[in-house]
Amino acid sequence: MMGSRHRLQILIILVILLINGCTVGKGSGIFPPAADINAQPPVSADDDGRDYKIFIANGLSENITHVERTNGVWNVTQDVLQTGIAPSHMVLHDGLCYIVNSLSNSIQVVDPALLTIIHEISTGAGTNPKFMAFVTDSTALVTCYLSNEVLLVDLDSGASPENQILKSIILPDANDLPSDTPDPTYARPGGIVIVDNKAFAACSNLNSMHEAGGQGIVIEIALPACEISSVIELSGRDTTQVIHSPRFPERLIVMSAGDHTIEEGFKGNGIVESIDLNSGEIFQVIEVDGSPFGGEIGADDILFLENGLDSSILRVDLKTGEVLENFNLPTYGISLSYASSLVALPGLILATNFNTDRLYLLEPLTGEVLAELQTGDGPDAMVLVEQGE
Amino acid sequence: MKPIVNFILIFLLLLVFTCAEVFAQDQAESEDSSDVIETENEIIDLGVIYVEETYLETDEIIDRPTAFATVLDPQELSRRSITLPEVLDSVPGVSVRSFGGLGALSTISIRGLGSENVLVTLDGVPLNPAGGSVDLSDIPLDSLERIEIIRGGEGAFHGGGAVGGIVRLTSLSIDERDGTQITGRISAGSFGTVTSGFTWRDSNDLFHFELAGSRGDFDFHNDNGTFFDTGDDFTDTRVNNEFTAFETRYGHTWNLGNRRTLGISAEWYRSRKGIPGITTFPSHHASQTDTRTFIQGTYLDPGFGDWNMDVTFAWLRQSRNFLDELGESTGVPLATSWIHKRYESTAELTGAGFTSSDILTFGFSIALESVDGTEYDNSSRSTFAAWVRDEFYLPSNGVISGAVRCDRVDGDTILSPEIGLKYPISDSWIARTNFGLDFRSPSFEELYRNEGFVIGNPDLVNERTLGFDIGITHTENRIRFEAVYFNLQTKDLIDYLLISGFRWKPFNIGRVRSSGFEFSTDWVIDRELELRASYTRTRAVDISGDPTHAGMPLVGQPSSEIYTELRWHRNNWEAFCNWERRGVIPVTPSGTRFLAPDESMGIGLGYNFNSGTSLMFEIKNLLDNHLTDVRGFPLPGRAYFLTVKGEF
Repeated sequence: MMGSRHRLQILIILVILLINGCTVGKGSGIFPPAADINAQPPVSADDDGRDYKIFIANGLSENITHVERTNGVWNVTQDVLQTGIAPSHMVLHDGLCYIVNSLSNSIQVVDPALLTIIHEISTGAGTNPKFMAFVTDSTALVTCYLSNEVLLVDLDSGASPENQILKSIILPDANDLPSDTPDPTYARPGGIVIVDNKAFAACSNLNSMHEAGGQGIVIEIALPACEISSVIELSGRDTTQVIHSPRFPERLIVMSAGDHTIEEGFKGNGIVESIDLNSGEIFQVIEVDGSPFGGEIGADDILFLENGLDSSILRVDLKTGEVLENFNLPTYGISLSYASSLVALPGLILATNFNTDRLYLLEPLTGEVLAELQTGDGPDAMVLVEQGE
Repeated sequence: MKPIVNFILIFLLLLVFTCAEVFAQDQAESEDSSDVIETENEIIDLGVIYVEETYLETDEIIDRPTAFATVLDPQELSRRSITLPEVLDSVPGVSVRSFGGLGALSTISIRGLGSENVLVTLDGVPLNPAGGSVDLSDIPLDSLERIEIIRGGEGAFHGGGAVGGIVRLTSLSIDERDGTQITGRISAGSFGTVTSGFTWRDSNDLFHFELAGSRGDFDFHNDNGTFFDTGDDFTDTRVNNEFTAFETRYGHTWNLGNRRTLGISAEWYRSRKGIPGITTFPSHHASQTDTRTFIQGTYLDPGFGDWNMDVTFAWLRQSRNFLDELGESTGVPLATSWIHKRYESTAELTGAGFTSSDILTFGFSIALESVDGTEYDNSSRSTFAAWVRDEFYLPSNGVISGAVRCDRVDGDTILSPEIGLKYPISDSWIARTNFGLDFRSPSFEELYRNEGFVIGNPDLVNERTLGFDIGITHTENRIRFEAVYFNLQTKDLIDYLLISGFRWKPFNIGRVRSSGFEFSTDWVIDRELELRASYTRTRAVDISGDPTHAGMPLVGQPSSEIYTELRWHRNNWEAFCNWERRGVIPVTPSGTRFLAPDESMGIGLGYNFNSGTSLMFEIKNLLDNHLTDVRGFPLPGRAYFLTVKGEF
């Protein structure tokens, strides 16, 4: 009896060894090889060599990745700070970093030097804040995607919770939005920028399936009254972002991602439009053959755009209106990735990819990927601080 | 790191087995026969196994002697104010996540695998709508006769979807004793909750109806979405939890002579519930209506030649209508609906096998399923299955079972083999082990559902899981103890990826390893006091190869769960006190954020009148802790209930 019992024990042990030894796989092959990550990049000829701190908000891991370049050496530190749920935008203002958390409906005020949260402001249940822009040092306008409003928020830590929302600017509803569908459409605001005494909010104008239901619009908000002063109808559809640069002080640049269907995804008929700030007229319309979500102006007045259609960066020469060749980010064959945030520096382009969880450093003229740095899960927003600032 | 874990594991197992033998020998020598309570005793008689009545209830299931299982008696439990999700949550290896109070969506996971990997059957018919998960809150406990929870893969016995385990629910049936039995029950308590049930049955007929309702609103701690700033936290009221449910069941059995019987049963269930939404996106007006119609016919012939024949026909229709007129949950008005239909026919023959010591079973089934609704094109699936299994009974009361099932799902042939062993090491120690390959076909939701944010993927393939478990059960005197190690490895796991903007689509990219230990004990301290306790430690990790997910715990799976219950009874009085502690629950796939551990306690005091009536007063969540099973969905605080049940 003892003999058979021992045989049974040996059999059981062998089975355990077998089970633990025969894992079903070490990886699916669609993810990038870990050895390529975080290698130091060569220095581009146009790189000014300055040192940077970069904060990347990761939408899925709900935290901040800290990337630092000191004396030309890049270092990455993961999970330096926890955010709210689904951070969608970060802004640096007056030495502080502001994180907009779209699903927890909050704004976090962070000290970037100490990496500590100073305080948090709730935008209210069901608002779904996406982007923010500063009106004064202590107040900001926040676009709220699901509640279709722009909130004026008091960011001062001394404000009591019930007094933090100073005003709600209700955006046009289905009756006032341009529409080419019998279904009602919704403003669905996205990016917002403030130029002098006006704020401009990009509105997607989507139907109930979150598809473009008509032309996108830009809402002009007069400050400090915080009242809608004008509505600019665009050519583009599913308008996502609006930017302004001192390089083009009279110009507002608006990006529209274009049409999208459930079956086929984005069609790639995105448009970049330039609006004359004095007349409110659209004076340049550029079809970019992609779906821009946002962008930044780099050297030589090249507009670099995050492409939501695929894992690439669109490029537009703003002086000539010419669409230049895309810069492709590695996809590792998954082909589902998209560029989710971007910073254009002299001699260097930084771009994140939401699905591959990488920050790519690109040469700005050729698009060569100089290095790729690991981020947290789902990088979706990025800000950069020059060290010493 | 992994070899070290292997060695530790092997060492622990060796230790357990060695200790077991020594302990068993010591016990045998010192046993006081005057105080012995009879334990499990099986008799093999021409393929029929009888389990004698014991003080310690056995958890062994007759047709699955090698499996690790738990058996529960809902009729006994229904003397309390308790729901099916609450009952299942106390079982080792099982984790139930609830989205709120009475009637709120509740899902089950077993051994670290999610609800779509747990098959829930009602009288043998899967309730999982086309491979999806089951809302346990829509199954009234009072209408059930028996609950069996089998942990570990059951693909060889029940087909696709039974990967983490299976919950087999048996509905109330006729009472084979002479005479008529009438049972009535009513329970009332906090949040305006009233549940009631009535059953009338004799040896041929059964009639049952159940009515439940709750106003449901309860207070909870609202952090206002600012997790780190407590200055704006406040006590909020969770509204739109109203729940009403009605169920009725009828059954009739004809005795056809020669022990042959023909039975029919029909169930109709309808519930309407408020859907309060996520706390940061509350839906004050959204609602959902669920219905279920279940008709089944059963023909039993224990004398079909040398075989026992069991033939069933079942028709199941489930529907759901969701209405959010104000667009509170997604920002746009939403009205969705689906209807799931399942027709299933099964025939099984059981009898003596190749030798005088084995039982052989053959069976086949045909199942046709369809889902139609606002977010689905009329989607259908046909499954033809055939299986054979054999149980060899060893002279020492051991069992070796082998089974293989072949499922042909829409033209795709899938084999699910399993081998199991039950081996008595001594009179009081039994070792069990099971090894099998299971599968889950993609649900219609994963294949076809299109609702804007989520897009189905018709190219998905089956998930496959290699499962193994091993454990020992010690039953002696007043105590039963069980320790089990399990290891499940899944490939082609279906995982959702963001494909553009905010749209998600499922792909077969995931790989998961879920392993852990289950410990449970049932200790009859004396004739008035009994302790039941279980501890489950689960490590369910992503091994997909994604650098940010690799090695990270699976979302929604708690790392550990402890459940203890102390029961006391003297004369007509009875009391209980239970305590449950749940470990951290990951809420991000990269393992960066967790729900904090929480615990709850409940107490109850009851009196059983000699007339067959019982009275029970109980308090749930006695310490009024802020509990959350699922992020953004608070659970109710302290609640009081009084239950009266009569059996005549």
